[in-house]
Amino acid sequence: MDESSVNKPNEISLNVFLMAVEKKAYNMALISTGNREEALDIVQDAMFKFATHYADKATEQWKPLFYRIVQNLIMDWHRKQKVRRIMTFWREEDSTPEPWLASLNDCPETILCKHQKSNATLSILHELPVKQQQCFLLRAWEGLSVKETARAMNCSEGTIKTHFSRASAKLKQCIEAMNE
Amino acid sequence: MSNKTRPDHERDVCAILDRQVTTMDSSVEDKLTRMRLKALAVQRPSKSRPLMNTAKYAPVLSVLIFASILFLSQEPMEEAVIVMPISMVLPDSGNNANIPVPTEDIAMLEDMEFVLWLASNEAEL
Repeated sequence: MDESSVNKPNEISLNVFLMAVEKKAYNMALISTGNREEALDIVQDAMFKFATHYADKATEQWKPLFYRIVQNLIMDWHRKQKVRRIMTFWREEDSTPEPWLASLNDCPETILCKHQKSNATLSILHELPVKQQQCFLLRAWEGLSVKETARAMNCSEGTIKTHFSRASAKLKQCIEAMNE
Repeated sequence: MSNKTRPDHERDVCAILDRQVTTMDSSVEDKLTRMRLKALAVQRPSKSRPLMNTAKYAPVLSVLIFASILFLSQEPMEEAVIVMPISMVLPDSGNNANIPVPTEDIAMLEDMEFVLWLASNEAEL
C-alpha cells in the first residue's frame, strides 16, 4: 500500500490531518508510557478509532476528538498498568526503558550537555502526574485552547488551568535546579 | 498559546519536544505511515456499510436461518382434514343426484320432532 492509494477528498484531508498529528501523538504516548511499542500501539488504536467513528465529523472538531481518543487510551494504559503491578507485585519490570529514562551519563562528551538537558527535561515530563503531563503537552506543545484541552481530557476548564499551572511550575523548578 | 506570552522554560521544553519529532527514528516514522494508511483503508469502505454489515453478520444470519428451518420442520403438523368422497362433493354424482331436497320436508320433520317431544313430555307428566 502506498500513499498514492489515498485519493478521495475526505481521505486526502484525513490523511493530511493524521500526518500532522501522528508524530506528536506518538511522542505524547511515549512520554507517558516510556515504552516505544506501547506508544505505537496507542497511536495505532487512536488512528483506527478516529478513522472508523469520527472521520465524518466536521474537520475543525478533528483535533480535540483525536486527542481525546489518545488521552483515553493513555489513561486506559495507566489503569491496566496499575492493575498489572498489583497482580504481579513480586515480579521485576522486564521492559527496557527509553534512552531518556535510562542513565543520563552515557552520552559522548561533545554532546553530553545538550543531550543531558534534553533527556533530563523529558524525564521530568515523564515523572509528572499523567494528567498534568498530558495537559501541559496539549496546551503548551500542541497549542490547544483551554476549552479544546478540556474537551480532549474530558474535564472542566478550571481543572485544566490547575493542571497546567502545576505542571508548568514543576517544570520551571526542575529546569532551574538543573541549570544551577 | 502564543510564543510571545510563553515563559522561557515552556519554550525550552517545546523546543526539545519539537527536536524529538524532527529527529524521529526512521523505523518509527515508517511504522506510523503504515498505521495511517491502514486506518485510511479501514475508513474507506464505510459508504458501503449495509453490504459490509451483511457480510459481517452473515454467520449469525445463516445460523438463525438454519435454526428457524429446524424449528419449523419439528413443529407438529395440523391434522389433515378428512377428504370427503368425491361423490358427495360433486352435484352430478350418485344415484339421487338430480333430485333436489325440498326445504318444506325439513321444516315438516322439525315440526314432527317437536310434536313428538311435546307428546312424550305430556306422557311423563
